Amino acid sequence: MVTRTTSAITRAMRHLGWSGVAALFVLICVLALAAAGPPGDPHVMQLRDRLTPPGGTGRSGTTYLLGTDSLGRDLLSRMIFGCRVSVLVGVLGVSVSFLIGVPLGLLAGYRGSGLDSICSRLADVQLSIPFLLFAIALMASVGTGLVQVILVLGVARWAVFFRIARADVLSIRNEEYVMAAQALGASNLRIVARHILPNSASAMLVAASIGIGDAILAEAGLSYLGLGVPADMPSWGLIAREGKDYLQVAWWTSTLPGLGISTVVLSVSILGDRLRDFASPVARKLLGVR
Amino acid sequence: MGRYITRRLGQMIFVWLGVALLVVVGLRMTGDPVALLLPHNMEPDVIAALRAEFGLDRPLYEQYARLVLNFVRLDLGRSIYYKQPVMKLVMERLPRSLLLAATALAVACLLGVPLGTLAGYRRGTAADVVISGSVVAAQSIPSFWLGIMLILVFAVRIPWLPTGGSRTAASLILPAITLSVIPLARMTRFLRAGVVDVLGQDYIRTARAKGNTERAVLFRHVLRNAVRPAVTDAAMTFGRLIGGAIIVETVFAWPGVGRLLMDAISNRDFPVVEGGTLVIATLFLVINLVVDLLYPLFDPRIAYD
Repeated sequence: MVTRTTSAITRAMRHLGWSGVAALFVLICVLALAAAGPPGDPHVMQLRDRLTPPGGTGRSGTTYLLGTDSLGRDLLSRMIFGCRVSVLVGVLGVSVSFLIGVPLGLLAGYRGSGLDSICSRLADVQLSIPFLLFAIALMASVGTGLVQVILVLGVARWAVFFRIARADVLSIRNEEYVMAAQALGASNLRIVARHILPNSASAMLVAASIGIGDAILAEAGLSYLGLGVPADMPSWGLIAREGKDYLQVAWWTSTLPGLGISTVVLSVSILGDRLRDFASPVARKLLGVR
Repeated sequence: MGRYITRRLGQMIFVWLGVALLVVVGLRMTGDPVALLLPHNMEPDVIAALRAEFGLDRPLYEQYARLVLNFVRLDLGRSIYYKQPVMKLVMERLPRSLLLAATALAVACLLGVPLGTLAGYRRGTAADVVISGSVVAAQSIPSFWLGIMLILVFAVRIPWLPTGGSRTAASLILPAITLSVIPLARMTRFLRAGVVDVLGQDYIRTARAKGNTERAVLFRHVLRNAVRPAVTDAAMTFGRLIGGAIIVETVFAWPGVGRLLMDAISNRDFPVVEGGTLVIATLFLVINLVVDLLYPLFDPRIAYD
C-alpha cells in the first residue's frame, strides 16, 4: 500500500514537477476548507470585537485566528465562506463559457459553411471588446447577483473556447480515422462525440483550467467595483473591498482575502501551465503566452 | 500597402458595427436601463416618459441605427447627471487615461526587456527561475488588491506618495506601477521566449565563430531580433490597458474614462455608460489597427501588398 502511494506520488512529480504538485496540494487544501465550511457564522456581528487583529482576543473574550472586520465579523469564517463563492463563480463561469463555446466550435469546425462564418465573425467581435469592459457594462445593466456574475463571466468568455474547439476540430477532421468512420457510415453526431471530442478534450481541459483563474480574478475585480456578488454573499473580492476603508487601522481585512485570491489563482495557473504540455500543438498555439 | 490599409479598415468597420450591436443589445436586452436609472417606487407614466426621451420605446434596430449614425457625427447624447454632451465628458478625461496607460506601458518595456533578456540568456539558472516564477505570480494578483497594498505601504505606512487623485505628478506613480504589472509580466515572458529562440539560431553560432565578444553577440545579434516581436506585442496590449485601467482608476481616484464609466454606473447615467463603453471599445480597435499598420516599420521583412 505504502509503495503504491509512493509510486503514485513519484509519477505525479514526474508529470507535474514539484511546483505542479505543490499547486495541486494547495488547491486540495483550499477545496477541503471550502467543503468543510466556515467554523462560525460569517454574518454574525460582534461590535465589541470590531477590528481585532489576527490572533487577538476581542473585548467579549473570543479569540479570532484571522481577526475581525469593521463590524466585528470573524474574518476566518468570512474567508472560508468567500472561498466557496469565489471558487464557485470561477468553476461555474468557465462551465458556462465551455457549454456555449465548445458545442458551437465543434459544429462550426466540423460542418463549416454558413454557421462557421457567422460564429467566427461573432467571436471576432466578442474578442474585440476588452473582457472586463464588456463584463462591467453587462453587470451594470443586469444588476448584482451570484447567478448574474456567473452568466456574465461565462458569456464574456465563450469565444475563447469556441476558437480552441474549432481549431482543434479543423486539425482532426481530415485524420484518417475520422475518414474511416465516415466511410463506415457513422453519423455526424457519432463521429463528433466518439472520435473528435475525445481527441481534443485535453486542449479544452487546459483552456478551462486557465479560464478558472481568469474568472476568479474577474469576479474579484467586479466585486471590488461593487458590480459583483451582493453584500450578503461575500466573495474574496468583496471582503477586500469592505476592508479598504479601514486600511489605516486594520491591514488584515483587505490583505488576507487578496492573498487568498492570489494563492488560488497562482496554483490554478501553475497547474494549467503544466497541463499545457498535454494539449495538441494547434491548441497550444492558441493558448499561447497569456 | 494602400490595398492592405483599405482591407483592414473595412474589417475594422465591420467589427466595430458588431461591437456597437453587442453594446446596444447587451445594455437593453439584459434589463430595462430605465428601471435601473430610477428609484423602485416610480410612477409608470414617469418611466414611460423617460423611456420615450431616450428612444428606448423604439424598435431595437432603429435604436441601433440611430446610435451608429450619431456616433459617426460624434454625438453620443447628453449625460443625465452632468447635463453635458457625453462626447465632451469623455474627451475631457481621455488624455488622463492615455497618459496612465502610456506610462504603464513604458514602465513595462523599461523593466521587461532587461528582465526577460536576463532570464532567457541565463536559462535554467537561479535568476531565470526567480524571474519566470515572479512572472506567473504577478499574473495571479488582482490589480485592485495590488493597488490597495501599494497604498497601504507607500502612502499610509510610509507617507511618500499620495493615495489617489491627480493633483501632482507623483500621483501618477502608484497607479502606473499597478497597471504596468500585467504588461510587464507578459513582456518579460515574451522576451525570454524570444531570446531562448534566437540563441538557438545558426547565425548566433556564426557570430560567435567570427570571434565577436559575447557582449556584441548579445546586444547586436540576440537582442535586435528578440526585442521586436515583444515590443509589438506590448503595443497591442496598449488598447487592452485602457479597458484594464477601469479598476486601477477607481482604486486611485484617477480621473480618466474608466472612472467616468464607473461613476456613471453608480449615478445611473445610462447615456454615459453606453457612450463610454463604446468609446473605450472603439479606441481598442483603432489602437490595434494602428499597431498592425505600423508593423512594417518595426520589422522590414514584413511588407503589406
